[in-house]
Amino acid sequence: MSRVVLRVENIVKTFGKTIAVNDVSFEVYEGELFTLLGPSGCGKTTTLRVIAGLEYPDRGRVYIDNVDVTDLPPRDRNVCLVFQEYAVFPHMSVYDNIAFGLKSRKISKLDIDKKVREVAELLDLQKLLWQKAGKIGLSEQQRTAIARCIVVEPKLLLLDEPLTLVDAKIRERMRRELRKMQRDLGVTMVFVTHDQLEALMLSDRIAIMREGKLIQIGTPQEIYDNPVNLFVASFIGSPTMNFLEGVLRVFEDKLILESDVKIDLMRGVDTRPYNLLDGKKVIIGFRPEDAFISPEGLIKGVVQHTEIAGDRKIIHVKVSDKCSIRVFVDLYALIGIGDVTSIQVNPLRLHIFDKETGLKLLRAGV
Amino acid sequence: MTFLIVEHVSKKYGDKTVLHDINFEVNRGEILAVAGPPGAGKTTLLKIIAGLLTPTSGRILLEGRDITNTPPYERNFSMVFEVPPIYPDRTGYENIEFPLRLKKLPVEEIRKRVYDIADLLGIRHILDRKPHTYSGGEYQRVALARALVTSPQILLLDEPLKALDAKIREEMVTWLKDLQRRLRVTVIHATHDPLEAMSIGDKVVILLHGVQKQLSKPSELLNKPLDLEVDEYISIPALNVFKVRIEEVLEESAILSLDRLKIKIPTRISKNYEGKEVYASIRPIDISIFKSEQPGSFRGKVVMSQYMGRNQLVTININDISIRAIADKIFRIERDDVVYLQLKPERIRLYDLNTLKNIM
Repeated sequence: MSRVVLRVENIVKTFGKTIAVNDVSFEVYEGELFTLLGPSGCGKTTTLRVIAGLEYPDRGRVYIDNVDVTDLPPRDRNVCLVFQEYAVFPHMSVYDNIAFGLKSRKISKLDIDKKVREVAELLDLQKLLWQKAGKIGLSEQQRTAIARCIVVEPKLLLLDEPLTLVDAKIRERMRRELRKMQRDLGVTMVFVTHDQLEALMLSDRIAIMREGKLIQIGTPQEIYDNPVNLFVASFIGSPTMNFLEGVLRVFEDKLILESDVKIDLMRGVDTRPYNLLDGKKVIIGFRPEDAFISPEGLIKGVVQHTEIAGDRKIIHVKVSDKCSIRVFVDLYALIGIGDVTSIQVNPLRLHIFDKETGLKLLRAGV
Repeated sequence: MTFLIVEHVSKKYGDKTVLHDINFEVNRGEILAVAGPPGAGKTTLLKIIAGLLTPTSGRILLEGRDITNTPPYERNFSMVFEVPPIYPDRTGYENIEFPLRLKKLPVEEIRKRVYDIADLLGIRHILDRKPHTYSGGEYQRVALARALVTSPQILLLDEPLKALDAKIREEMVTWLKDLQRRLRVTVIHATHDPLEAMSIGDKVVILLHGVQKQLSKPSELLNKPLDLEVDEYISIPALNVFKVRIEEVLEESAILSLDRLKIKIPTRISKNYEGKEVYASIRPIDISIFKSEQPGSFRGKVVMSQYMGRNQLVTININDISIRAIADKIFRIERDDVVYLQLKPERIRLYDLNTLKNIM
């Protein structure tokens, strides 16, 4: 296991009566891209600001390289924060932007020049050094803002929603560039976003927050495949997971959900792991890609909508008044509104949540 | 008779042309989506249809009648903006009834109409509440209710979902489409998101830098973009584009060379392209990744794999070419792995090097 660069311990931060961050703890390893993910108001930005030293926590400590920095001002923490709107000075050249942080540190001109050129080359900015930062593209501005941070060799790079303001198309490319740069440079990053796909695509690990609390930490795949509760299950993944509500009935060779209609979930499989859940009020969840159209499908319904999701087509199948299921079909498939169809769910990818608490009752893949 | 016709509409500001000769027709009860990146001219076009702007040239016809110079309030169209101006100090009810009050309808009539539309949009519970208590989705529904309460002939929506979270936007797309089908209202929906346009629209107009590039059904748009710019705009994740040489043009196919490989693609193209270079495009989903060599596959090295939940976007280098492909979520892949790529020949599209037009 790599070295721990950042340790956040039991952080609490309140603003008046609002608890913005409620007892949050986690560790970030060297060279890792760690993402704080959650809907607006979940406390992710406040957590980042506490790490940067821009907010002082009510309780809890922040350690960087095993040194307690909680009482240190931002400039003494050796971290660098990149904001949503890249704080590049538009009227200054890219060179002067990058050199900015060094000039205040009383380093010789020759050394500054050497460092600026080194970082510019790493971030592929060497050809733009003499252009005004306000005149270059957004992606280049982002790199300039990051270069200005990296040149002072921070222990930690903190990014607060740096990609939210750009167009979807450009964002896709910038995500790729950011990830590649982070890997190539080996910098440790804490990244804040509300965009779940962005978090999945960029991160080594993700911490999901809600209402100030940390809900789950894991690799993108762990979080996607095994969400700990209904909130994570519905927050992660687009299109959203399918949810069916009802009472679970377990028989020897089949699993049935009693909703406004009876839904056959699985048949001809070993149902013993589910025995304890017989008669329980549950919410069944499965992702659209874990169900498919099949003539042998147990769940029957009528196609209500179709929509295009980039590489695939999504069809919405109405099973009953209360239940509707989305599944993927081939982008070029001939299936239309009003068609009767049947759906098969991959039994290994069925999630069962407690209706009352929202907690996962059984891990997928039992 | 065609319901709405937009005929040779252009708009200039000084010597800057923001719309070049726009032409399309919308049938009654249809949804037409207008898709284009920010700055393409979508809002200008909607405002011209609404009567808020006059075109420099061209006409707008409604049921055969020229309405180009009809003032907006006589058109009975409604328009909803990205951030609609809802009065913050008024309740949902007061916001929705506002346009009916302007028409001086009797109070009973107003009440009935407001309740009917609120029920239809599922916002009866917020009629007594003020806007600061609404969620993003509720806020947009109140704006829509206010737009629909006058039973407009045409509903113009300018990026109504842009400000919403991805999750809510996803629900709103389905909801909006359903609502439109029940009301049979004619809708023109502008969006920067090509996927939203293809999900919502019966037909889609692609608008790039003020030029109407294509008008098609969503499925046609996906299968046959008319030029490379359209293909690049509508393809998410980003399209792969290569320069290739057409080695041979046959009756029902063409042979092209990419890197050191030859690919035979089923198409009829002009014999003139034989020996010439063209652009070839293919979407990441139409490339398969294998761990072992396959017939006609390219050998490459993985640069990066980005996990996207249901699948992963893999960037691969083949000599000097960088290719993006979609792999299944269970496919184990690491940086520097050697992989083999197969391009689906029937999914390759060819474009002229100079005009960028589809040549297939």
